[in-house]
Amino acid sequence: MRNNSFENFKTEFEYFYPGTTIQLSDGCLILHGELDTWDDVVGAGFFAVKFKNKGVVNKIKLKGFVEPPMHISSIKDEAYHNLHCDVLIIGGGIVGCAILREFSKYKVNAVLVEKEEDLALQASSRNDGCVHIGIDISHHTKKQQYLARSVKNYEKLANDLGVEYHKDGQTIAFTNNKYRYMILLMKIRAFQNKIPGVQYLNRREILKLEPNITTEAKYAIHFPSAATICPYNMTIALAENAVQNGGKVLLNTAVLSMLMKDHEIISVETNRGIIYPKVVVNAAGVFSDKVASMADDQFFSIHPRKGTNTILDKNSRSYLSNTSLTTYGLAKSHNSTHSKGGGVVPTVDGNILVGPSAIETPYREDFTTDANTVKELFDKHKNTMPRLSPSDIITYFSGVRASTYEEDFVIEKGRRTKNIVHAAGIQSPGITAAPAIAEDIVMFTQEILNRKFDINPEFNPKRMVTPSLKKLSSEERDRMIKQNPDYGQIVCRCEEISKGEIIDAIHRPIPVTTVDGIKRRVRPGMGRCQGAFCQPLVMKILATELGCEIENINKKGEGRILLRNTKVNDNEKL
Amino acid sequence: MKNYNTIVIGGGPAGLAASKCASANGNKVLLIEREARLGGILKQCIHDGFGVTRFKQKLTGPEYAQKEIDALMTTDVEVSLLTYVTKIVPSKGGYVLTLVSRSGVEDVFTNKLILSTGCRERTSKQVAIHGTNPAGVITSGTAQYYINVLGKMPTQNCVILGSGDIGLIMARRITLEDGHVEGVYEVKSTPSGLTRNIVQCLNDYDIPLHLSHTVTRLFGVDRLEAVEVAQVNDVFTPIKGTERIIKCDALILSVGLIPENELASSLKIQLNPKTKGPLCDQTMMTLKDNIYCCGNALHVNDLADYVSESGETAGNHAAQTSESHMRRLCPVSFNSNFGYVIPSHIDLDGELSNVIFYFRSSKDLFNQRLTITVDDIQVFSRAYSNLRPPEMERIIVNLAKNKNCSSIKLQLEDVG
Amino acid sequence: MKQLICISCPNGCHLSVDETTMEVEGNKCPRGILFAKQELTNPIRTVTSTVRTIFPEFPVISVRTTKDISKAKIMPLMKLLNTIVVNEKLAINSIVIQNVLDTGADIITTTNMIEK
Repeated sequence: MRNNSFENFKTEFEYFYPGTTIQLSDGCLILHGELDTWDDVVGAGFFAVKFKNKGVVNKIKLKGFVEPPMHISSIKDEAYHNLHCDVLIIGGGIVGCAILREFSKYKVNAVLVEKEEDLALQASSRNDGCVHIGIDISHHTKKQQYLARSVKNYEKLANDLGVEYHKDGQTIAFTNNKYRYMILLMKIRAFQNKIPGVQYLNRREILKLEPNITTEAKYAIHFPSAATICPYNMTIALAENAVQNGGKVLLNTAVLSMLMKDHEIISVETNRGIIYPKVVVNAAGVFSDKVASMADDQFFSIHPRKGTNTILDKNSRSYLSNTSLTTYGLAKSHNSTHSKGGGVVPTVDGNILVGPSAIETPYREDFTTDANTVKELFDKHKNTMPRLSPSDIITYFSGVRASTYEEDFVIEKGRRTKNIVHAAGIQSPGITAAPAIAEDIVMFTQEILNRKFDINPEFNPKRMVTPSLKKLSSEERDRMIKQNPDYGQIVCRCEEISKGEIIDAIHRPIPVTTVDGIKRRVRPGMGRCQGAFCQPLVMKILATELGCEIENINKKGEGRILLRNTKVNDNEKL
Repeated sequence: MKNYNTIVIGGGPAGLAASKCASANGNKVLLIEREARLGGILKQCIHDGFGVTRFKQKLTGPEYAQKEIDALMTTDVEVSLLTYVTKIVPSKGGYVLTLVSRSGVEDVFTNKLILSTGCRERTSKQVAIHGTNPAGVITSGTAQYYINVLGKMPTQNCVILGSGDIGLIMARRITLEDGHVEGVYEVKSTPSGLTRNIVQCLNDYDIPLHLSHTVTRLFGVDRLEAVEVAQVNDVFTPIKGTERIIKCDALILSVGLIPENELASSLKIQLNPKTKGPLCDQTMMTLKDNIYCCGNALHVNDLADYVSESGETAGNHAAQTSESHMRRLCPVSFNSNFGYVIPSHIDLDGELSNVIFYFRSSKDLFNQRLTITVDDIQVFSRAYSNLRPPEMERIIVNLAKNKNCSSIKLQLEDVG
Repeated sequence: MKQLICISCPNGCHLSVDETTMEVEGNKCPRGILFAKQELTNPIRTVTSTVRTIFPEFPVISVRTTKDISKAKIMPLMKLLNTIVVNEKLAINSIVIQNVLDTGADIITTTNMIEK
């Protein structure tokens, strides 16, 4: 009976997508062939999901498309050759770092490899930082389950790690009665997902909460427990605490291939040598399907979905009264795609973030922005708060979501391969769900190794980190400066950041070697002048602290800022 | 808490002149500077052309700054370097400033404030440059700092966006340091910088200037590899089909300066939307009593000489005017041939015999007559054969006979 | 008729010069006439640049020519400046090279290296 229905489905599929074939293997649907447009390739993947199966692997090629090589460091050496460990975590995003920290609670030799020169360089730093309450997620999904488990302790985790946590709340407004059905749906979901403190607001109450909201907003649901954090600082904090507790982080280390035998990973080849783990954790984000394939355990495919966000000047922050804001049914908004969260979001640093957009793309690492997308997303979300103006935009950035066709997380042990655990296909609410995902990954690893890990008695959940001095009282700040005058020398005048804070960041447990690495940790370069004044000063400090020449300090990756000395004689020329 | 008569924030040319003058009549003055040395941006402006009117010499920026510093050192002005103002709070009779420096956090009191905080450069994101976000995209001021202060080259082969003076100066500087400038691209249909800089920076070195063009996209993940330029129409929108890709390793931006007025905004001082600096009267006092503003924080100047002059105006009045002086402000209006006029108001109970007006035209104009009418009576007239927005003009007007007027109008009109 | 823009001062007067009679029009002051004549016979410019020093707090120090030099000598001057290294802390306007490249102009510093 099942085979028959698959045959019918296969016929239907190959009719709608000529040039492709579909096969059933180990309960998974494998798609092959070639199509003319990326929308078709993705459409085929979504179509396949409709047939009850255990996973969609979409190998359909896009005609004429050559995938660019994965962005990795040019370092090639044997620095980590023959490294043996219990667990090898592939991927330094928030999920990989949360997993490393979770392992550090036990006496386990855990190593995390990250292909870039710093952590959180992909999706984990390219999102709106929302700690979601899960209103737009079905409670049957892994997304919702892991989110619900994580939110309970998220504030405590943030406090322990010294990461700012703003319980700003989330408000979703509606313009007219048509949306009563959505409010009903949300009421049901709020109940199913056990979201606390939900409030239903009429126009008068909305205005009291958000005086600058569009005049079109008539009703709203308000979730006071929704919060925002800085997602890359959370990622880095998790990793730093993990390292403090014995975990290892290897940067500029990319996984290139795996040696398999009898359905087991024997070794993992990187650009820095061959590593021998007992268990591999796949937290490789947009590349998690490729890692799964290397381990001969691919039962899902990633279809990258790009999103762009804009950041507004702090002067515009005053228009928003602390809650992240979206409005449905605005007269001027274009059709459609329900924005995946976001809207108008207050950041913990006092800016406003407007976005994101969502567009399917074959490029896994396309972090470019373009004028049309920024204009569209801004126009759409700005209708929620008409006072916002494009001239308030101080910067914009893009990220790529690691979406599977099932649009859900892949958190499970390997199906074919014995010693792999997947924490893959993580898109929103990944930032929120990471802590609970990490717990299960550790549990799965214990099952694979068939032993219970011993607790690490030295584990300290708290991370010591220099506070942001501008947020201290005058007395506290004065005291710190009297002990270390570098705290009184302001280097970034837009964000009021001292030399001492920059030096401290350089010497934290995860090595920082780039200007952007400092920027992410302590913010110089994120203000109005976008680094025009402070970039040279930050470079000088990095050069001094790292003991190298200033021209060897890069902005990011291998992107040099300074190419050579001035006053070059003929015999010194490049 | 230390008490001062006047505190000057910013030790560039405006603040140096302002604090020197403010110390007259035994006034106790504190000059606050966030860098390790005085001189402001002039320290890195090693080209000449400074001081032609003020000192009758063609000085380089550092030489000009040194003259102003030397003059300041003959006074009793207290200077606090590597000091940053984090907060200003109104207090009885004046203001309390919170200062952060290597010695700690300190509050100081002053009767009067002079804001000479200069300006910052417009960024790539503010001119909608998209694509990747690589190393190699810097503003010309930052490039200037790398080359002239650190002795390092941030480029070997660059494209410059914006024909403002700093961009032109850097085009020449990069060429002299054996770098290559592929071209200067300007979004407007006329150049933004001083004409003489077009000659001595671009023409002298055969660097092409492409008007009505802009940079739309960047390529290169870690380091810039190329930019896309496009022609723009009369509303500065890129024209499809005119795109061209230029290989380069740097994009140097010279797309405008923005007065720094965070402190002014925090004090709720009203800003002039055209200049992005505070509204002010002829003494450089803002609309908040006893707070003055001068130099590039007030409006972006072309010449350091006028920056110093505005500092002197502010400092002199801070020294001479009583704190409790009540002003009678008359607004200054102007027609649309002006981009802006400073001051925006005249204090009719202030010094009126030598009122200095600074203005820019709103577009390239030829054969104009500027007239000033007070209550519909003409009190000033001058002819101009050529006016360009990048070239600020200055006039001195005697309004002593107009102590009780109710309207002051400036007009620029075609002559015949 | 040659069209020139005078660079003597910020005014940037547009000059018209009759190449045969050397008559100059369009100048707002006498410097324009001098400039036009010079520009058509032997164009000269001031040169400002930097030279290296041995001091870490002054990786380079700004310098200038004391008077305008022939345009043709600018690039050779730049090559020469590349070879200079200042090894003592100099007051502002100290001479670094006298009569550089036989132009009659000196190279002097324009930034003060001596802390007071």
